[in-house]
Amino acid sequence: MKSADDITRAISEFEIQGNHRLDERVREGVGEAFSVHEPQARRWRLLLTSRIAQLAAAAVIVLAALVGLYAWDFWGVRAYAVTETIEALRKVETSHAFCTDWDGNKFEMWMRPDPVTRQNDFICLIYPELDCVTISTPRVSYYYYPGRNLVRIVRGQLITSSLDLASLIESLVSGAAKGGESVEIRREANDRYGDVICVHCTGAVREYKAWVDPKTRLLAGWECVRTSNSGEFVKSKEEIRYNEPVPDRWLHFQCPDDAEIRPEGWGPIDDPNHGIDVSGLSEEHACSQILSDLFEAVNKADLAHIRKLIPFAAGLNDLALAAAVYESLGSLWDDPRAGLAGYEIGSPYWDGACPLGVLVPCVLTDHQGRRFEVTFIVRFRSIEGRDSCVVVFTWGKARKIEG
Amino acid sequence: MTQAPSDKSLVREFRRGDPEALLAIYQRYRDYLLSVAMALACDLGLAEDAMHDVFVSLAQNRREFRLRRNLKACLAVCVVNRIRDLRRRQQVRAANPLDEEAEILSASFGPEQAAILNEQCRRLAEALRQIPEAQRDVLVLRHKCDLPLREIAKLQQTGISTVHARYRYGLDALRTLMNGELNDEIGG
Repeated sequence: MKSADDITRAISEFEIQGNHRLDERVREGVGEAFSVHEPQARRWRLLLTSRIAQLAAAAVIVLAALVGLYAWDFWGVRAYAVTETIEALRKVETSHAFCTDWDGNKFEMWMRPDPVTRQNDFICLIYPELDCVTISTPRVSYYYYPGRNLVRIVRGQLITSSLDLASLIESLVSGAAKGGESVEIRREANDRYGDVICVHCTGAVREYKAWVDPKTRLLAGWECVRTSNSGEFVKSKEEIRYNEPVPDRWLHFQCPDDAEIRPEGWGPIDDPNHGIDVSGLSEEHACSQILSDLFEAVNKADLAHIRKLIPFAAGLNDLALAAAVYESLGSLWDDPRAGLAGYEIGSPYWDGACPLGVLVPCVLTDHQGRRFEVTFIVRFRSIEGRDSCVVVFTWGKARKIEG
Repeated sequence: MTQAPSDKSLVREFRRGDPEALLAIYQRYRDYLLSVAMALACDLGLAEDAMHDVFVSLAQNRREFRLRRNLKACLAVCVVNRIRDLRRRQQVRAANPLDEEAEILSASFGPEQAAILNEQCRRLAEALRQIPEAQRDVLVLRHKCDLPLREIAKLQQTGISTVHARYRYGLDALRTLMNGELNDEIGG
């Protein structure tokens, strides 16, 4: 008698092999499709600073063809380059955006970049649904809960908000180009923004769209879609206004007289007691050092050292920490106690979508020989004259490397 | 030793217009996808049509292709969808498809291996062919493609309880069919 297990095993082991006839058919069909379908006719190449000169002539020809075809000249008389948006954003004094977070929460954001460093010297995030207003400057950040009349005060700037829009777009597009992701610039009749320029970056697990006002060259909106095993997540800035004065109550925030005040010292990520000293080390060397330390700590199950290297883990109990770390290091790990058989640490790079720190791709091998690609976020700090770095956590999920 | 390119880099190359990258993907997953298609269609001709159409469609729409999950699972879902389209459009050939399959298998393998595979495939394919398509799809998607029942419910655009029921009835039916065949052989 065949049991249910026998049947399900038979299905999973059901295997036939392809044949030469099928190979030829597919090869022929694919070849034809590639030769006939060339969907680039109306697409624009990305123009970055270094290539403007050599591509300008080609762009003008394409532009002329488009204007001729559609008699539609909202582009103006010249081709669009992402650098124009970066330059335009560098001139704004403030930006005021209405956004949706990864978890679907709506929030409002005020940003005022420092004209020299381009880091935001003031940022305010207003989450009405969460009853929370966060105000952050390089020296101090406030978490104000109006409904609870509570203010938590943390030393240092909010890490997620240090990057201004110009730097965000710049690193996003150049990062996408370096990473071999597809970057397209096209015109779009958008329901929300009207006739706009759409800069569309597409990678395997993420997708960005930046909509640019063709007249001002400023960002009209922005959206990032990230796909993971858990589903698809969207973060967006649906509306962005420029050069509005920041409301005084936020710009010069004063704790309400009757509010409960909770000074909390350093935010965990900027706590000088975490991380390793990196004085005199190159960025690459420092990343290699801290991640080697982390992997060795994982292999020794040294949770205290893991907490020192990953500040976010400091608040987790042993069980939660072990679960979080081993889940992140390879979600398919069968036996966490076995640890890592090997690891390779790649070169750090900057990605505009992750203002928390640099990204460091690593390949981890388990004792069964399975390999996983895991990207870590390493943050560099200079606190009270001491250079150090911490591991923020992983960026995205571990991905099993096939073959 | 040169390392084989990753799925991600092959996808990147084929989206950029390199047909050889897409053909490398085809070669990498050919047998798995054909097995999925065959288990679903129970017809080698239909399975091959689905394979051909999926890869041609990928080539035609390469710019729009978005890898939302791992490539193997993504391709399996493409094949599943294509099989469903093809099944809607044409009648499954009634005239002895498994004989044709035997021929192909015999042509591809050595005689001993072909005999083993042919027998295993034939028994299961014959049983699968006799159960309702919806039940067959659930069983194949669950055990050949490793899709969770919840995801299968989404693919079939039905509720999870319906998928559970299809799974249970399908498994019972397959057991009955395959055990019946076994009993016939013993008795006969």
